[in-house]
Amino acid sequence: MDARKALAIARKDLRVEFRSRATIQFLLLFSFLTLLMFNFASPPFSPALREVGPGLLWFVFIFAGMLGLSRAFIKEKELGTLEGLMLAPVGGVEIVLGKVVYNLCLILLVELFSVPLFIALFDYRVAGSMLDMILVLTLGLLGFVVVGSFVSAVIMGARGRELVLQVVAMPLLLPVVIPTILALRRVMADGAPLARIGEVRLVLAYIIIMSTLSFLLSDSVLEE
Amino acid sequence: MPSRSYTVAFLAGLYLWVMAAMYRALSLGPLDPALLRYVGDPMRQGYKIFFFAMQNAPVVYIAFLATLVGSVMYLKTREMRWDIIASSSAKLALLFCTLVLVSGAIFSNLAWGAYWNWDPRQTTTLILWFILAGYLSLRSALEDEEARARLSAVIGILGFAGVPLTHISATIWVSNHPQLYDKAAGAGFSLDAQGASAFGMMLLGAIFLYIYLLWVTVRIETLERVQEA
Repeated sequence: MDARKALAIARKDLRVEFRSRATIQFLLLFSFLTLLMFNFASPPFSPALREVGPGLLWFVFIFAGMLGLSRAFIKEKELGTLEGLMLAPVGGVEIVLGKVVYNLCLILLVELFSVPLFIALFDYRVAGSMLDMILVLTLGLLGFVVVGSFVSAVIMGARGRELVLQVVAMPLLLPVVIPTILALRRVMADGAPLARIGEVRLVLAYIIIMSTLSFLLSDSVLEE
Repeated sequence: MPSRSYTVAFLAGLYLWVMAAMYRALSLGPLDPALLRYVGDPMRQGYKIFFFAMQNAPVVYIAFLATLVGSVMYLKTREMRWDIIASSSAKLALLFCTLVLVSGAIFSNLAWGAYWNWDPRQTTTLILWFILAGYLSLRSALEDEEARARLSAVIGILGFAGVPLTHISATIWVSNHPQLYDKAAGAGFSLDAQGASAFGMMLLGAIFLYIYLLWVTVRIETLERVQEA
């Protein structure tokens, strides 16, 4: 594996993306809308929001990410540029890693945008340290992007791929989704310091397992 | 391939075996009164549904394990028969998983007064069900036979590897979740010798049923593919 090749793919994707800004525009608008919907659905100034809020914040990323991140591979398939990518002297691992880096950049932009918006809209006072909250969220997003990007590489040839992605990726993502919600709640509602949150280690373990498997299986996914 | 008379003899033997196991389970005495204060009164005799529910759970794991083996072997050898084994076993795993969920819910309702109470095992089984359903939907969405075999093998491996951590996630989530029942009830229930043998017999019966169904499904799938080709 050559990390420079993977970074070259990520750089190419980011350049293409920032020419049209089609996906990032969609991601930001969609997460804004989702936040608003959640805000409408919850009673204003309710004390229950302290407990539910972290879950709502997290699901903004899941919803936006599920729709947006699959674009990285599906776009190549639709435009017919996948063949070109496969012909280039890069292996499946580099392609998948490149897409992971690209998707991570996109979702971090969404994070930068959505977290302040969430705090403002819900008037949420974070009990713990802001830095811990961002770290927990970013780790969860890393796991989400690693699994999500790999699964979207698997499903890109399927019929109705956007729908198939949801049902295939969601169950595989639960070991990231559940502990991240719990950890976020511990930081945001209970004010626990990062070192005391065991759930984070679970996410980390899952990221390591899934990255290893993706590394081993990438070449079988992207052959032809 | 065994002849029809062997199959009939096997099925008759399996039928008699399961009948004997059911007789053994149903002739057990009522539940220990010391445990009854943790669970509802219907459990006095109703606890025996345990013997009709739980023996399916190990079969789900065995079937999913066969899917894993089939998937790994397919990626190694690229022989279609491994894909047939993996997909057939996944179908059966989904079938047995559904049985576990439904019968588990009935047991749970008798024991704790709610069909669903987010017991870690129940939750893990439900997630497993979704993983298997996702695997099979991916298969039905891929048309090319080779791509279907290759890509679903990847998801089969990923799904199986996720199961242990899925179980841990469900467990920590439930421990954060409000408790709906006394944990001691689950811990206090243990099987005596007759109960253990009844459970063992039911389990063996379920495993042999799975093996038979796998054999039939693999055969049907093989014949269908021969016909298509």
